[in-house]
Amino acid sequence: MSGTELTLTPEVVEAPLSTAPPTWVARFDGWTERLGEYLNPILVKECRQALKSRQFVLTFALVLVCGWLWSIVGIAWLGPGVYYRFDGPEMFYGYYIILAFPLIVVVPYSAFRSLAQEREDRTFELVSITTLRPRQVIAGKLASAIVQMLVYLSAISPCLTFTYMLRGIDVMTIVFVLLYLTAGSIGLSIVALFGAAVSRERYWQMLSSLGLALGLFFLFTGSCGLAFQVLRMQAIQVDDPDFWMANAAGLTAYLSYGALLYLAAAAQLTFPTDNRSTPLRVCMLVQQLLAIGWMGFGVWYAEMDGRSVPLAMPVINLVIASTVHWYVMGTFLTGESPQLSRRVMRQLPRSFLGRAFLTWFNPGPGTGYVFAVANLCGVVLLSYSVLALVSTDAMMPPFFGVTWEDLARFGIITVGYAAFYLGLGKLLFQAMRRTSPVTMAGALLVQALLLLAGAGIPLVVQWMSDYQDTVYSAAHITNPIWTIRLAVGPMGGGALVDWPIVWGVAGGGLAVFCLNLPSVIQELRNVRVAQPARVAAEEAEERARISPTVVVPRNPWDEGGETR
Amino acid sequence: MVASHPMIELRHLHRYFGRTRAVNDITFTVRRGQVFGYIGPNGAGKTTSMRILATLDTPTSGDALVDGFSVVDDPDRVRRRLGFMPDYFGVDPNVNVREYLDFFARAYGMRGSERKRALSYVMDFTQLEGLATKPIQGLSKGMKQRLCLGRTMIHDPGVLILDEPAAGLDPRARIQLREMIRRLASDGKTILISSHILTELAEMCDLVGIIEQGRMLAVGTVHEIQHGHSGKQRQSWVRVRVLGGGQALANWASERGDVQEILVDGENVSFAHTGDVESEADLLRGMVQANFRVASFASQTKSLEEVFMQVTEGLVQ
Repeated sequence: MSGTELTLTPEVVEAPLSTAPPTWVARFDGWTERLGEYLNPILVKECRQALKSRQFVLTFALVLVCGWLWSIVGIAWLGPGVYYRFDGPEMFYGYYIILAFPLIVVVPYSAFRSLAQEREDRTFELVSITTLRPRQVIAGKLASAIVQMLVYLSAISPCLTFTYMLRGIDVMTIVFVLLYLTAGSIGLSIVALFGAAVSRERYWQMLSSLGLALGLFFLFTGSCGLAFQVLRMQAIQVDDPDFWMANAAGLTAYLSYGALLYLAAAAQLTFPTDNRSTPLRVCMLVQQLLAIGWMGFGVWYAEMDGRSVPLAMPVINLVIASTVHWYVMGTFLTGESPQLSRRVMRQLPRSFLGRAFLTWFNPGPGTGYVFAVANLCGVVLLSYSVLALVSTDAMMPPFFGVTWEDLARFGIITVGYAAFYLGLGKLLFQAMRRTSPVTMAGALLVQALLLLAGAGIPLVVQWMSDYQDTVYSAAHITNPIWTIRLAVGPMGGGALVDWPIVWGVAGGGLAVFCLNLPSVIQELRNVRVAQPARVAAEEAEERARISPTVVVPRNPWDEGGETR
Repeated sequence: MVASHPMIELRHLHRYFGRTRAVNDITFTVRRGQVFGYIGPNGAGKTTSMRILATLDTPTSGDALVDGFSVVDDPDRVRRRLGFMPDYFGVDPNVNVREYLDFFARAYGMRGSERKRALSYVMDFTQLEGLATKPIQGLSKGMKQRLCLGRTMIHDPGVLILDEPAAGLDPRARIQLREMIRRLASDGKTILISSHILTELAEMCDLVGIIEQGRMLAVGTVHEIQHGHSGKQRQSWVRVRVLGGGQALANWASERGDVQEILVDGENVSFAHTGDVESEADLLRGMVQANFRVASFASQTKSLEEVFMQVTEGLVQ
C-alpha cells in the first residue's frame, strides 16, 4: 500500500472535551455507535436507504392504518359479543393478513429489487471491488430485509396482543404463527436474493422479477389459507411430542436449504477464478447427512413408541427425495468448467488422505459427477443400513408389502439412472464446450431435455403404434419416473419391474460412468501449484507480524504445519 | 521499502468478446509514482483493460499485475491496493455525501477513528465538507466526480485507475480535478488515467500509451511520443522574426540540411527544423553570427493531438 499519510483535520484533533459526566442517553448512544462499527456495512447502508425510501414509508403507514382500521371495523362487527365470546382467532386472522402481505410479498420483493437494481445501476460493481466478500453482501441484504420485517412486526404487535385479550387464542398459537410467518419471509427473501444474483441480464431480471412477484402473491394467498386452517383446527399442539419433532425436522430442512441457497447466491457474486463449488458441495453433503439422520431417528422413534408404521416407506421416500436432490445438484455440478484456475489449484489437497477424500470437493464437472453419484449411492446404502439396524424381526418380514429384494431393485435403479443421465449430460456438455461455453442455465436446460426425451420418446413411439396400450414394457427402460415408480410398487405393494430391466439400467449407468472416467481421471491429475513469490512474501510478512514462532497445522489433511 | 516490481504491469493482455478483440496483446508497465495517460478513441479498449485491472473483468489470456499481484489469481489483494473511478457514477438513492463515503470506508474494513480520519481527509481533499449532508442525487456533475474520486481514494490505495475523470466537466471543475490528480501524483500514487483531453494528459502524465482497436500503438514518455514515436528524428516548427526583412534569412537557411518547408512573410520566416534542442540553439547562434537581427525565435514541437492523429492514421474510423 502506498504510504500517503492521513492527516487529522483541526476539527477532529481539537474536539472539545466535556467535563460533565455523560448521561445514560449519551452512554447508550456511544454503546450503539461502537456496536455499529461491527455491523455489516451493507446492512448499515441498506437501513439508511430503506428507512428513508418512499416504498418503506408507504408500506409502514399502510400497515399501521390497516391495523387501526381493522381494530375499529372488527370490534364494530363483533359487537357486544366481544365481552363474552371467544373472538380472538377472527381478529387475529385479520391482523395476520395485514402483516402477511408486507412480510411475504413486499419484503422479499424489495430484497430482490435491492440487489437487481444495484446491478442495473452498476453500483454493485463499485461494491464488488471493495474488500467485502460476496457472502457479506448477501448477508447484509438479508439482514436489512429482517430489520424491515421487525419494524412491520413491531407495528402490528400491539394489535396481536389485543387479540389474546379477546380470548379463544393462546399465546403459543400467536407465537408460532408469527414464527412461521417470519421464517417464511426470511426464506423467501433468500430465494429472492438468489434469483437476483442468478439473473445478470436485463431480460432475465425482468422475467424473474415478474415470476417472483406472481409467486409471492400466490404464496401470500396460500399462507392466508393455511393460517385460517391452523387457527380453525387449533393445530399448534405444544403438548404433543410429534409437533416438536415435525418442527425440528422442518427447521433442519429450512436451515439446510436456506444455507444452500445463501451459499449459491454468494457463489454467483464470487470472482470467476475463485472456488465457488466447494462450499456448496460441503453444504450438500451436510444436508444429506442430516436427512439420513432424521430418517434414522424417525424410524427409531416410531419403533420405540411402539407404533405400527411401514418402516420401509420413510426409506423409500428419502431415497426418492435424494434422487431428485442429487439429480438437480448433479446437473449444476456437471455443468461446471473443467478448467481450474491457478487460484483454486493453489488450494488443492496434497496429502494422500486429502487427495483421496477431499478431491471430490474440488470444482469441476468430473469430480462433481462422481460426487453426486457417490452421494446418492451413500444415501441408499446408509438408509438401508439404518433400516436393517433399527427394525426388529417382528416388523421385518413384510414392511407393509415391500421386501428387501424390492428395496435392492429400487436402490440399483435409482443410482443407475442418476449415473446414466448425469453422465450423459456431462458428455454432452463436454462436446458443447468445444464450440461455446456452457452456462448453468444451459446445463439445466440440456438435462431437462434429456430427461424429457428419455421419458417421452418411448411413450410417443408406443402411442403411435397403439395409443390405447400404455402398459410398461422394456421399451420404457429410459423412462426413470415410470420405472422408479414401478420398482417400489404402488403404495409399497411389491415391485413390478423385472430383474433384466434393473440390470439394464445398472448396465447403462455403469457404461456411461466408464465413458466419463477419462475426463474424471484428467481432473484428478490436477495437483497443487505453488503460490507466487509475491503472495508468499506478503503472507510471510503477515505471519511474522502476528507471531513468529507458533507452528499451526492448517488442516488435518495437510502434510505440514505452517509457522505463524 | 521501495518495491522492485512495477505497480502496474500488463503482460500480453487479451480480451475477446466473441469475435471482437477488445484488447489485443497489450503490454506495458507503470512504476511507483508515475502517471500513465491512456489515449485512444471510443471503443479502443481503454475501459476494457482498465476494468480488467480493477478486477471487474477477467482477461481471455495474458495477465495484469498490480503491485506484483495478479488480478486473475489474487483479486482480493489487488482490491486492497487499488482504487477505480469508472466512467459512470452509480447513484445510490436516499444517501447523502457523508453516508456514501462512510459506506465505502466501512466496506474497506475501516473502523472507528480510522474511518473518521479517512472521511475527514477525503472530504477535505475533494472539498466536499460543505456538501456532507446533501443527497447525492442532487449533486452536479463536477461534485459527483469529486465524490467519485473521494470514494476511489477512501482506503488510501497506492494505485488509482481513473477512467475519463474529466468527461463532461466544465472548465473550472476540470481544472479542480486536474489539481487533485496532480496532488495525488505528488503524494506518490501510481495513476493510470484515460482522457480525451490530450493537452491535459500531456501536462499531467509521465508516460503515455496510445491504444487503438485493442492494440497498443505507442508507449513512452510524452516527449518520446511527441518526438520519436516512429523512430524519426525530432522535428519542430520554428518561427523567426528578423528585422529588415526575412528573405535573406530564408536564403541563408535553405543552404542548411536540417531546414525544410521555408515560408517568408515580410519580416517573419517559418520553417521545419529537424534536430534536437542543442541543434536548435546552434541554429540560432548561426543566425546571430551571420549578422541577422533576430527579434524573436520560437520553436514548437507537435502537440499530443497531432501525434495521436498521426499514430492512429488509417485506423481511426
